[in-house]
Amino acid sequence: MHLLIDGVTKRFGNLSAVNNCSILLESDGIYGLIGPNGSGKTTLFNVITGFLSPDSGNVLYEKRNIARKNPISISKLGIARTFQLPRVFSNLTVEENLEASRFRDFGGRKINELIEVFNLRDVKNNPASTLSFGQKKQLELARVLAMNPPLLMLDEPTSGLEPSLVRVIVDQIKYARELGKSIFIIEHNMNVIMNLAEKIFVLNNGTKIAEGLPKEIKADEQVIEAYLGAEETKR
Amino acid sequence: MRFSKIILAIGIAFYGSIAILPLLSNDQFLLSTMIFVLVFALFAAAWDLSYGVAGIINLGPGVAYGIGSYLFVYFAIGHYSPILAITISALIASLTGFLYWIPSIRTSGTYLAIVTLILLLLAGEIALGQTGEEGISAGLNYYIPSLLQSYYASLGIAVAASASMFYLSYSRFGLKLKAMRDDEIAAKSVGINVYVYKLVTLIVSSFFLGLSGASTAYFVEHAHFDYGIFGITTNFLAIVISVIGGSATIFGSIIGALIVILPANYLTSYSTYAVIAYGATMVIVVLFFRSGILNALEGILRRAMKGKPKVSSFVAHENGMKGSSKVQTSLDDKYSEHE
Amino acid sequence: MPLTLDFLEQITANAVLLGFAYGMVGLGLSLVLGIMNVLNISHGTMYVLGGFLTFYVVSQLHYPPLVGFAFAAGITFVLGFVLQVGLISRVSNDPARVMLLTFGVAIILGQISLLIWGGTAIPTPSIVKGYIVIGGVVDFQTELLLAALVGIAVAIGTTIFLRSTKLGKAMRMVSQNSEAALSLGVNSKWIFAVALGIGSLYSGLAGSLLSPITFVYPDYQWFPLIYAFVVVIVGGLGSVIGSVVGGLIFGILETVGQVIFPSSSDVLVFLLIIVIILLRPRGLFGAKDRV
Repeated sequence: MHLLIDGVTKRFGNLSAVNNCSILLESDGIYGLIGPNGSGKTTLFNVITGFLSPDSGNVLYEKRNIARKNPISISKLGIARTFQLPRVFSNLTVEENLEASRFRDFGGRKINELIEVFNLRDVKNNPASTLSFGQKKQLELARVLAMNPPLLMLDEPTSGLEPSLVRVIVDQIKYARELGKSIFIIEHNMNVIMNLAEKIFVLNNGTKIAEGLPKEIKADEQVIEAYLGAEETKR
Repeated sequence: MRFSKIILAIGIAFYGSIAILPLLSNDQFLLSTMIFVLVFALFAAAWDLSYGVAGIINLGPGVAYGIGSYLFVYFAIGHYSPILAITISALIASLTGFLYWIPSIRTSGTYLAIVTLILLLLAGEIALGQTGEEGISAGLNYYIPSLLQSYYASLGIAVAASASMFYLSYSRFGLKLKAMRDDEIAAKSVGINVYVYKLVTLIVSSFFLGLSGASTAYFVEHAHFDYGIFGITTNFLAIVISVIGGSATIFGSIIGALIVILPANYLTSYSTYAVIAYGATMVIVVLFFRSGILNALEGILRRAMKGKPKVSSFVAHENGMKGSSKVQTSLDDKYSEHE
Repeated sequence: MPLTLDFLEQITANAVLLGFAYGMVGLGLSLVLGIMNVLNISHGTMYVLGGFLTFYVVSQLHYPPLVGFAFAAGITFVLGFVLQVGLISRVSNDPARVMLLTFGVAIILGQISLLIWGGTAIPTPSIVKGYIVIGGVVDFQTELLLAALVGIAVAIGTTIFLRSTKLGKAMRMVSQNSEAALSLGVNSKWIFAVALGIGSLYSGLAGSLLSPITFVYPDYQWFPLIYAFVVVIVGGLGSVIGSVVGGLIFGILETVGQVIFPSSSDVLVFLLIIVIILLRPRGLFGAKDRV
């Protein structure tokens, strides 16, 4: 798996949400994207997955430039994503949600496996709108796997969840990795991301301020300052 | 693909009863009214496909319908056989789907609704300039079907068309339409090509809209609603009947059509009251039976059959068709650049 | 028609006046759409009702015209208010259902009007008959002049209301974020009721003033809705100035349309709105996040 974000800039009016950002995911693995609130992480995800187009820069997936493609094409090329607030097909049952999302190379019988792994067996025939928040997050995870993509992009997969469920999701992400998927995760939960990620990128105010192994990031002064600084401005 | 057997069964029950009605009654007026009901059930079912199943707002189904009517008369006057005339009219009417598709990829919701309504009024004004206030006469001077022939022909058309649309809505294609309806952004993110799907849906829907228009021209002897082409009242009947009958059920339209058309046809001198009645019915249905009568029925029967309260996917309509709220809308803005 | 300068001045004058008057209808819709984020399909019905009610009071009951206007305005305000409190508030979570609901209401009210007053365009009374001649060249129909003046007054009044009064500020609060407003003790349900009342009032008042010129009949109700929408689309949502400008542009197009296509005068307007929605949905003055 090869994903290169090359000098991407995205502005909204006068504000640069993402500013000349370059990130390279050069092999299979689990990668983390962290940073204080408002640092541009989700915007970057939106650019990569085609929901926004960059004002400048390129995004190269498997050496192909996907910078200005639309989300439909990009998902077909092999990138699947989840959303910060889970999006499900409300009037469809859980099973139908997965059925609607699965790609042709992911067999219909495997849907049942996913339902088991993501603890959805009891609600399999219930409409997605009746699911709890945690169940919706699990449904989203199941959904991206049903697309059988080489790269999963997860936007805060554990946010808003109680600790026991967070542990479950961490295991599920590891399971996805064992299936051979690469995973790029936006996370706020430091325990989770330090545990999971092999390499972490840090954004602040739209620019990348650090990258490296988890233990390197933990010790990085700039990173610490960025988060503390964010704490300051909160007051 | 799992489909709702209850809805299919109820649909068969209604259409079956209509099929045997001529054996029980010779009342000409009743039978001709039922033809009216059947044709408008088709009209509404076609609209249900594009809105109930696929979530595409279209306040102007009367355009495709009117084109179907107009073209049928045109071809009939040209002495084409009725079957050929109906088929060609419907095929040409399906091109209207393309016309309605264009705004649907640029806007949605309220703005799209208004654009579709404008297209109807625009078509009406253009047609008015061409053909005058009277609309066009459906008087034909060649093969005129008998009452029974019209009856069974329109029944056959309505049933065949509804069955096709029902099948389509439960196919893999239909499932993706429903996903698109429920959350277009999530649908894009799972690779559903919403642009293509909307186009196909609108073309298919417009085909059946045109088919109902052509059928009206051929089988319905007299119209009690304004019959100028692209008449506004006729246009909205598709929506009213579908909403009352049941969203995304396809077969709900026969129930809706019975409720809306039967009384109006009988109370001709009180037809205004009938219209008020169906307007009120629509308000009541929207308030209390959120997804229409057939979905409410289906929910009740399903729960009764299981013996315990179980939530079915159709009762899910209780939570709102598009499952969207203001929160989602503001998030959509982040993802809206590719609209 | 000879394109003399006089003629051009005349149609410009008519267009501007018509624009101010229709701006009022558009402003009503803009308020509702902007504050409540729903489309009230019975907005045009209020226009027609305004005309009918004025006809009823002035021509049938023989009250003076001012009473007729006030009556129309009052009734349409109440209708809008009740509509929100009684019906719309129950389904406000889903804009599509609100559309269907108000559509049902539009049908019902339209048919009731049909029952009471019949289907042909009724001759609503010319309140102030005659023409005023200005500059020796341009004739102003007095009804049109009156409607335009009321339209301007309403625009000014609305601006003051939204900026300076407590209720107006509450409305602006609610339109931005109704949950936050609630936490400050502002109950959006009643704010919406007033907003819908005012929106319907503007439409009804415009109807009562303009009906001598545009004529009303029940099926006409969809046109004021569309026209209001044109004003909102062109001028942008949530902006009073936008409604005025939108109204003016609408007035010009409508008047020009009448000259070029006498039998289908709306064609230009319709085409414009389609073009605008496709190219720049947020209009000239609209806020960016409203589409």
